[in-house]
Amino acid sequence: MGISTLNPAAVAGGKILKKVTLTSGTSYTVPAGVTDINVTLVGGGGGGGGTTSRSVGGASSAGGAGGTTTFTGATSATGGDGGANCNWNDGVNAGYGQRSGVSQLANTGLGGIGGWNIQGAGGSTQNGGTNFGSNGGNGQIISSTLTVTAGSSIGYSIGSGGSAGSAGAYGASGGAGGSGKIEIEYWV
Amino acid sequence: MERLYAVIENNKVVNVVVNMEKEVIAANPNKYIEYTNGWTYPEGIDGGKFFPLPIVEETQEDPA
Repeated sequence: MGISTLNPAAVAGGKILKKVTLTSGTSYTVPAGVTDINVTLVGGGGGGGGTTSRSVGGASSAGGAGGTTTFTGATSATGGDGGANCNWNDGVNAGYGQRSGVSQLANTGLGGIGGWNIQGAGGSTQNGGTNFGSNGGNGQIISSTLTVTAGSSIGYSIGSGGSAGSAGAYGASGGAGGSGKIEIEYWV
Repeated sequence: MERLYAVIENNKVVNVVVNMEKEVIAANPNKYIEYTNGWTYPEGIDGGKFFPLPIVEETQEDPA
């Protein structure tokens, strides 16, 4: 289970606030002495859309949606929508170039950046113009406060980042969305 | 590297999750499909909003 624990700050009254981040795995064990937790769920980011400039030889695809992050008893955080793809916009003659989208880092819940390309017209099947794939949406961020039982196990799932939209002919692919995470706070 | 899994219910992808524990995968062999190296659109599985199909537009060449 991928868990990182931040150094807690000491506070008055002998209580310490602890923060735990879950980045993988499926089951969390409530620490001894803990009866209440604050849990913040971040859904996966959607993938960025791809592009293409040619009306034959392959279409691009939209980015996939990010996965929903769940934690039993808490409100789930939905993943971001996938970015739309862009196929062969008609336009004026132009230069030629492509820029693939940007994938987001794991456990950020950020949407992937869409691909981009510019294309001069050529023949009857290659349309000039500039094509942008839409960026993926960010995952939801939702906090809940739960009453829990010390020592019990709580199931969860981390939403993955949405898949990147693929490139068609002369196009550019999008970037993948970042996966989600779960942040837990409790006092001991 | 994150290992990616599609969650399948009624032959449709209903969620995508990361780094599921091996024990969970082994106990539910029909529920999870790994796609770390890409989604291959397996036959009979609806990718839903997670794995949208490319938009295909067909044009006709001018024979002249």
